[in-house]
Amino acid sequence: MFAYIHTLSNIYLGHCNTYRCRKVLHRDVSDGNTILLVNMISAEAAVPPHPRGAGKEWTPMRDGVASDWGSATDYSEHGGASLPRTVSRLFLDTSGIDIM
Amino acid sequence: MLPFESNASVLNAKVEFYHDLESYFWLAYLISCNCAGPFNMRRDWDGKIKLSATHKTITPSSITGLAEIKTYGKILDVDCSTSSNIQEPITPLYSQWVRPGVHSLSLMEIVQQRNSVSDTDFANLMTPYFIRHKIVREGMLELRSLFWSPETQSPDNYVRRNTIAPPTTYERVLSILRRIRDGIDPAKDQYPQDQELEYARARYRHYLETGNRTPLLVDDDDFEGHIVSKRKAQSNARSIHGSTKRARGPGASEAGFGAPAHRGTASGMWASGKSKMKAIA
Repeated sequence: MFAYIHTLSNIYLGHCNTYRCRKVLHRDVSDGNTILLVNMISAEAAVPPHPRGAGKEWTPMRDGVASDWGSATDYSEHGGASLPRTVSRLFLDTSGIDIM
Repeated sequence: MLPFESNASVLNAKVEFYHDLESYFWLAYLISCNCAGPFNMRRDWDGKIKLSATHKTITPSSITGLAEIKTYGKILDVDCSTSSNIQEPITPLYSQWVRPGVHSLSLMEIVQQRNSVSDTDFANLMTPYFIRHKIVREGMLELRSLFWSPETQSPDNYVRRNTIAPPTTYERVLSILRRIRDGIDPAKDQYPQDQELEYARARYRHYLETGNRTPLLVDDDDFEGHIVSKRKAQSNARSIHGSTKRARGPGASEAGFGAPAHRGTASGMWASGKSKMKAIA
């Protein structure tokens, strides 16, 4: 639970950074577009064992990532907010997302 | 995407940053209604609906008391069909927007159902994993209040929310989230036992091997309908290869995570080392 809420706040923070610093707004938030990073594609990485010696409150902490920026829009240009949703893909450099 | 769309952006095409904040809030809320624990443990809605059919009524409070954890069976036993529900279950209209199958609702229905749920029901619809933490219950209500104007009771006794709340800020959302996070009692939030972790790994391995993932908010029956052609193809493949696994194929699983109908172009998207939000939720 702690890790979940932590990840959620990280996702908000990432959204904030993208919007305020890069002037890009995601505009297509959904379950499929919100992902958690794991170090490796393996069951052991996705569901790590409780490390020996760690306290009972230990929990794996993960970064949250917003994916699929296909509906995102550039707010640095005048009128960006009112642009219709498009399918163009902005290859944003956000935590190493690879979009297609 | 539909279930996560902010109320304002449903009613107004222009998307502002605070609409995305609201979408993330609805995503967080729907996860807390549909995940019974960490590592993609699903809530057993079917069991509750069957039970409600015998009682003829179902309330969010009765749902909460009866929540069971779906672990091994639901995910691994993919051929365990839901078509055993011969009797059409009685489903309360007001909670359909938090359940699998929400994609069959229209935008306005979702907004109406969201707006008509009381504070108590709103909190009680979350799974015990979430609401056993007082701070989560209160925090989610507080977050909701950022995106909504308060309830008003009209002369005909209906509770309404007619106006849309003023834009919120990143700082307000983050300060509430951090307060929730830091207020969680570690004694009530312990890492799962080894056995449970093994089940979770088995589910994850199964997903990696087959790409066979049941999307969080897609009704099983619904989903089957969309992949029927793929299943035919698979059954042909099976007769050739003699495999008993029923894989949905990469296209179906990836496209189907959020919305089965209109995201068919997403193939190959989840190829690197990531797991989905719900996998840990």
